Amino acid sequence: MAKLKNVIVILIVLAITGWSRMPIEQQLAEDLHELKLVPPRLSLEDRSRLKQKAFIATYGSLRPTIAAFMSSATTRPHSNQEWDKVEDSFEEILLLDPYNFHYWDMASWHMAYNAAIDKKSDESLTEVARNRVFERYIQKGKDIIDRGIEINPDDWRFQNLKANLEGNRFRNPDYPAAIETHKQMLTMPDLPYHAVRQANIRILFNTQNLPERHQEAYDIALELFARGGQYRTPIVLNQLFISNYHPLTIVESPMSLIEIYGSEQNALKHLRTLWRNRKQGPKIYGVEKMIKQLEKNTTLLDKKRTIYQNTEVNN
Amino acid sequence: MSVSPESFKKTSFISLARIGVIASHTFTQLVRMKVFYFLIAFVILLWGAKQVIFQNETGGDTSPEQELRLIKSTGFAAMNMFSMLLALSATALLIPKDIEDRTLYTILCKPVPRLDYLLGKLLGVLALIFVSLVAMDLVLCFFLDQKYSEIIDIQTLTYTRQGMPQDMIEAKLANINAHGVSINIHLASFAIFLKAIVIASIALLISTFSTSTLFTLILTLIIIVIGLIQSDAREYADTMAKFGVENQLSKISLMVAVFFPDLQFLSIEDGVIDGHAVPLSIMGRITILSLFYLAIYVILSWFTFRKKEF
Amino acid sequence: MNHSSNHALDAPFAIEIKDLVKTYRSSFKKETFKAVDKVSINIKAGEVYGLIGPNGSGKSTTMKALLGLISPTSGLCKVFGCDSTKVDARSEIGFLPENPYFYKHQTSSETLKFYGNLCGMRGKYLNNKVNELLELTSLTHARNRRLGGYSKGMLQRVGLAQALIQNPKLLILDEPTAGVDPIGSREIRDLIFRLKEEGVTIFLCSHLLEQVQEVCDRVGIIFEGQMVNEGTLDELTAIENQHEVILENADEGLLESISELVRQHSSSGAKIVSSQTPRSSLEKLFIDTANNRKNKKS
Repeated sequence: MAKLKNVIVILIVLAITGWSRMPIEQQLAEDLHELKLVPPRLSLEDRSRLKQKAFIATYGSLRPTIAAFMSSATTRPHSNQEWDKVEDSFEEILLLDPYNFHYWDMASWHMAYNAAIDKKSDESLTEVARNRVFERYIQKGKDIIDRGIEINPDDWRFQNLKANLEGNRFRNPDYPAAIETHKQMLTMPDLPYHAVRQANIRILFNTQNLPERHQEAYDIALELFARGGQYRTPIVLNQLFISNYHPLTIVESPMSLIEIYGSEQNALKHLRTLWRNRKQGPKIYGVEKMIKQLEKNTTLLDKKRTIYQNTEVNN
Repeated sequence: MSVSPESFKKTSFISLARIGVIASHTFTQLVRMKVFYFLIAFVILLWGAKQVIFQNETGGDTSPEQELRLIKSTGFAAMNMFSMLLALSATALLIPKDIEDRTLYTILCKPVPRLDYLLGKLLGVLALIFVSLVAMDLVLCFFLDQKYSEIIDIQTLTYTRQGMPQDMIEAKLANINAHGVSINIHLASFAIFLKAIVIASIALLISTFSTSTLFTLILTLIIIVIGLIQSDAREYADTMAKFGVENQLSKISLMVAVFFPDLQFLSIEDGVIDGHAVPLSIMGRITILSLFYLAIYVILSWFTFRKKEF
Repeated sequence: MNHSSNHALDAPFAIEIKDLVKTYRSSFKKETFKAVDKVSINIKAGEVYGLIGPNGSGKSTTMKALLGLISPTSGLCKVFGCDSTKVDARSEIGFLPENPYFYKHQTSSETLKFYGNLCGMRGKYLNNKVNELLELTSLTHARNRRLGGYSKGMLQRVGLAQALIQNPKLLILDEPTAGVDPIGSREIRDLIFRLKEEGVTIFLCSHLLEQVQEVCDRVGIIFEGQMVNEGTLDELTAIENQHEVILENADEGLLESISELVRQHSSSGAKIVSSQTPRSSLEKLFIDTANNRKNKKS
């Protein structure tokens, strides 16, 4: 009888104290999730996917540890090109450690780069099938990054990763999408300076790949040039030069070669590089002519650099 | 022989001195069981974690952070395991062992209130866990700092050789800084200690009415597991209540949320592993909530133990 | 002046047990078992009282009720006027359990210090007391050895020492000489006499009836939870119609004369029941032998 009384009293006390602490705990839990001090909740589906790992991983700090070991274990299926296994492993890893950018980066890289390229050269498939599978894996990579953005909306690296994939010329590029993603990234607060700079330059680079947006490319290059310092990259300088010669681009105050490049030597160096890579990009105006003109000045020529003399100049 | 009033002392309801005696005795008992040898295994484990180098595969530069995260996650996981096992087993074993060996008789036959005995035992276990966690925290910080210094040196050299502008180098190093030694490591260790406090007090409560050590261990373990998912149950019950939905699952979830402790809020080390800072206000709330659990379970333990017959 | 001490000064008895009943209930079968059934014992301060009875008769239950380890189902237990279930009562009690078991990881001096601390003793006073008790129980040579390495007899002596640590006014001993050799047993007996002279009340249980007979002023016999007999040893054990005379250096002639004298009074019913050479006890022989060997060595 006394034991039963004790049990009843204990249950009553636990019930009263439990009821009173619930709202406090709920508020604390929300604050902790907002500050990302605790991992996001696992849904029933996620738990069933993780199976015993979910059970183990619910105990603090084991989630990142298990994720780290699982990540190392993906080396084998990666080497064997077992992309389904790699994908499954990373799905679990991302459930376990969703605030770790490194795993999202790895997962999307495996899908959009490694798996996609592997499948593209898979001779057991027809060409149509290869292209289809190639696109599917690239899309998987993008989907992974999108999920990462959803869970980590404040981490600019995800936006950067997505934009780089969208703008990758070897991955069915979508330059307008890449530009928009980078612009979205630039609206985020507290971006590091180098990220802002890189994003702006990537926006210019992607805009350059859209011939119909030539005017926009020039405007961007001009703005970046005005910022000075690390912004005056070859991409910016070359765009200003090309725009001077573009038949449709409106250039209100054309800048001279020296104003753009600082010296003829510099101009020759950058223009030559641009000319070498010309097949990979849109048409570039005035470059060939300027290179020939600069090469007449033999003091600018570097005897070791014979690349131009050996390339096709009559296009 | 007459009994003088001076010799017949009134025993206070609670005495810090007496609690201290029992706590110190319990601490010594556990130390002489050589539990500190675990620290050797801990040092080896962290040394191993420090040797791991992640290859820079994707072309990004998150590998240095990964290496630091691995040391932190390994260290915190080991601290969690050790403190949980010790809190659970030491507390679950102590009282039944005293009863079985009848050493309890000789203690309770002195002017020792039962509450003092319970608190002394509990505090002795917690003192051991605290000392162990402080040592492990220092070891973790040592290895983390060593690795961090190595990484900073290597990365600075690498970035400089790559011709990276200074502001970019600084920004990248700032990312690595977030994973170095900071006060957040100590706060996470303290949170692990708070978790051990809650687990030990649960084990204490169960051991006051349990008839066997094995039962105490199993039941406490079950409560811990439920406690780790209690927040999910509470969230579900709360959501269903907001929508005005009441089904069997929501009722069960509510019962779980009311009767079982929430251990999830004490697992802030995950956030520290990710490099997030722990605001002191959050730490304060976590501490108060943990001490609330401690108070409730100790009071209930005393309530059960005060009339227990031997 | 507190209430309990007022009560103590007025209390005529060190231990007052009145109509003590203790019933145990089995969890599943709901059967009840009466371990102690209306036991009443009053022990005056300074008295040595022995409680004897077969195994399972209720001796331990009575002791536990006095020590507050169990609560009486009905009846009352008081120690120097204080309810035995209150913690205050235990400040004047020293208890030696049957087959005492202490923490193996401690040495005997640590053990005594631990119990002394629990009684509120500190510092030099406690250290002196520990030394004194170790000396008393012949454990000085083993004071720094952990109890895990002690023999049963040594543990028994540690138990006695911890029972005495706070200079209790009441000593409760459960089988105090169990597992102790005859020399140690004799020493404990002598100690009990000494404590009695100092006015300490002693309540003991033992199966060694000879020893109970030697030390106790009064004895109670408990059987199946009930007190069946109680009184002084003289009252309980004297054979009223017999008288013992022990002669030394009596020759055969004298013995014959005494036998003749008794025959002359046979009409009153007197007779010689036995006439023989008295025997020394085996215990005395053991002790004398041990002492002789000790003296030879020294």
